Amino acid sequence: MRAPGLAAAALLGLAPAATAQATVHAATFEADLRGGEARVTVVYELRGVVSGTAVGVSLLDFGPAAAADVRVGPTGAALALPRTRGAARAGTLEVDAGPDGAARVELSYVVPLPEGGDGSVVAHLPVATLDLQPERARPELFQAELVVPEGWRVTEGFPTAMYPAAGVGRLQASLQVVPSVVTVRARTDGRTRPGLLLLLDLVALSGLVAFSAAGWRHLTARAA
Amino acid sequence: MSVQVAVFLGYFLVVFAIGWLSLRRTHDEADYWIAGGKLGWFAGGATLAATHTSAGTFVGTIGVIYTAGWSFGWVLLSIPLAYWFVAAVLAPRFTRVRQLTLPAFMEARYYSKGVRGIAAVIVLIATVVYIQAQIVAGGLVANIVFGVPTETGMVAFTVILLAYTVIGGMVAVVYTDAFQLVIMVLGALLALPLAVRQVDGFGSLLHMVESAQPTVFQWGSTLPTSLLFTMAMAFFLGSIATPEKLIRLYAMKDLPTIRRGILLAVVAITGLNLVVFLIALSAIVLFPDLPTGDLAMPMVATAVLPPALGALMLAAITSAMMSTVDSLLIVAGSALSVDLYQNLIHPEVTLSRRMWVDRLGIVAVGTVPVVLLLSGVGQGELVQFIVLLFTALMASSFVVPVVGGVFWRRATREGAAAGMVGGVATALAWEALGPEAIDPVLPGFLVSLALWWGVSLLTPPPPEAAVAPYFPDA
Repeated sequence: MRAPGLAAAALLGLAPAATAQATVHAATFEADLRGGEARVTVVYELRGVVSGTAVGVSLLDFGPAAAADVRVGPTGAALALPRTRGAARAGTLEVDAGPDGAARVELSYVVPLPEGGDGSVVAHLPVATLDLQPERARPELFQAELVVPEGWRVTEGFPTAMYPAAGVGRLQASLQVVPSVVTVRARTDGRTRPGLLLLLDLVALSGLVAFSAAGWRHLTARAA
Repeated sequence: MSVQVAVFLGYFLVVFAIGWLSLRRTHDEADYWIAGGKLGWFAGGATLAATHTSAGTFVGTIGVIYTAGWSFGWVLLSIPLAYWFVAAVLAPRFTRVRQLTLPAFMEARYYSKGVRGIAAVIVLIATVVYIQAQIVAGGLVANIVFGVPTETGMVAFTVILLAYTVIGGMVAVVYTDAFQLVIMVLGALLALPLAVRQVDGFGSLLHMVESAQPTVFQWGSTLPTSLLFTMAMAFFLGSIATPEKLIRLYAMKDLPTIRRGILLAVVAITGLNLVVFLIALSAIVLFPDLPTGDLAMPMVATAVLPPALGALMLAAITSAMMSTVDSLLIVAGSALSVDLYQNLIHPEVTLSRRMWVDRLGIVAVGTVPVVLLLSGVGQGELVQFIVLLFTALMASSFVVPVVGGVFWRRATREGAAAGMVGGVATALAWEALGPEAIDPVLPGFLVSLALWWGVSLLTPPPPEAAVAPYFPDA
């Protein structure tokens, strides 16, 4: 048998980057959607970083939801992220690390929000990602916290498992890896309607129960 | 208890119930190994499709498309062609004399216990490789769902599989396969529109995919053309002559049933593959930096689908793995107990003792892959590449002697033995030392064909009694 990973290495054009040993240890995403636009802050905790390493930063624009005024770290230095292809934008930043290879990268930007004139709104919030992979996927590697405007009734989101957090209008979610976007679907007209996800959950569970019952009857009849 | 855990527990309860009920229907070895040879087209086709649609599809295929792009997709188009070949060409002759195992067919056609023993050993080696792929995927799912380390997930996955397969044998496997196919179809069909919705529809999806990973739709940019071509060959040949699929032809009651069952399997396999291609594209946009492409589907299930449906999707992935591994356990366990122990070591063994040896055989075969993985052997490969290695080993060993054996009277036991050993040895050597741009199936198949044909011509013709059942019109 081939040595582990050799087959994967056969994939051409996938040579590891110079910073291949650096990994994402944790990432937090905070977005405040009050005030007609979303003010986003993404903080990455990195491991295995060599000081002075250039790390790629990528962003995907989801239609009109395009990040603007991207700034780095506590100094607030502007980061250029020119469009590279289609909806993708990319740039690089230099990362300083401690003697143990740990580093922290903070990015902030604003994302325009849609009007929501028909009583509902879909807010895509692109996540600025670093061109580094997590060491391994693990629960809560990526944690998001959002503050939505008063009057928004959130029906769905991405990630789908989005729960209320402490404080009015606050939501939180977590994932095992860093996604390219966090999305909130909400009603702004105060109406309450069952979400599509809840309906699908019910359909799937009902189908499973029905099929299990039918199978049980079939097998017990044959066994008898 | 979270919704995910509740759905999984409910799922496993159903599977164990099927195993227990199946035990009540298992009276002899024919029931245990080939479900009595009385399956109808739905159960037969569903078990064939569920066995084929392994972690290789739900984890591996998505993982490779995520990593290497769309060009891998066309490779899988060779699979329906292979099933057509089985239904139209191979099955009518292969099922003329029904056996309990593929090595038993080899003994009958090639009039040699030694040939049967060689076939059994090859089945055992290749099966260990394949089960490893499924166990790796099982560990990944357990990591996502329960947050346990991947290694713990691999062990737990193996224990559950062994429990119901050992208890219920082929009857349990067939009915759990049918149940699992329904879950896979339901989960995949509901996952697709939700995943695409997260990127604002199909039109936006293609634009976003090209933005996120521009090489996705470029031919040959990530996988060389020669590798794609030989991978397609591996899937074609592997779909024809892998033991866990051939044995299902014996489990269905007659030829019309087999053909209907195969049609159902082709429709299900093709449809599921199309769905997983599109889900893979969504994963490229939504999760740009996964540590391994094999995580793409578990992440779609976790983050895109609502909790219960996501758990159902993960159960579907688990189903895909389990339905494949349980079938392989049946094949490998029968190779160990029927083809090696009963055939070569202890032919006088009593029936009750044989049933126990059968079960011990399954436990032994199921334990080795996880022990190897925990020792570090096989870890780190993309699931799909482990699946391809298994497919190449099986195709290099069995396609020529099985297909050729029912079409060429002159094929001899010496030719079959040389073809099997030469084929599998060449494939293994190529995997270890050969150029990676060509899948091992090509050299393995060619060497197997040359040895089987050449050695058969150089050795005395087979006895009429051995070949007559397969050539009644001659």
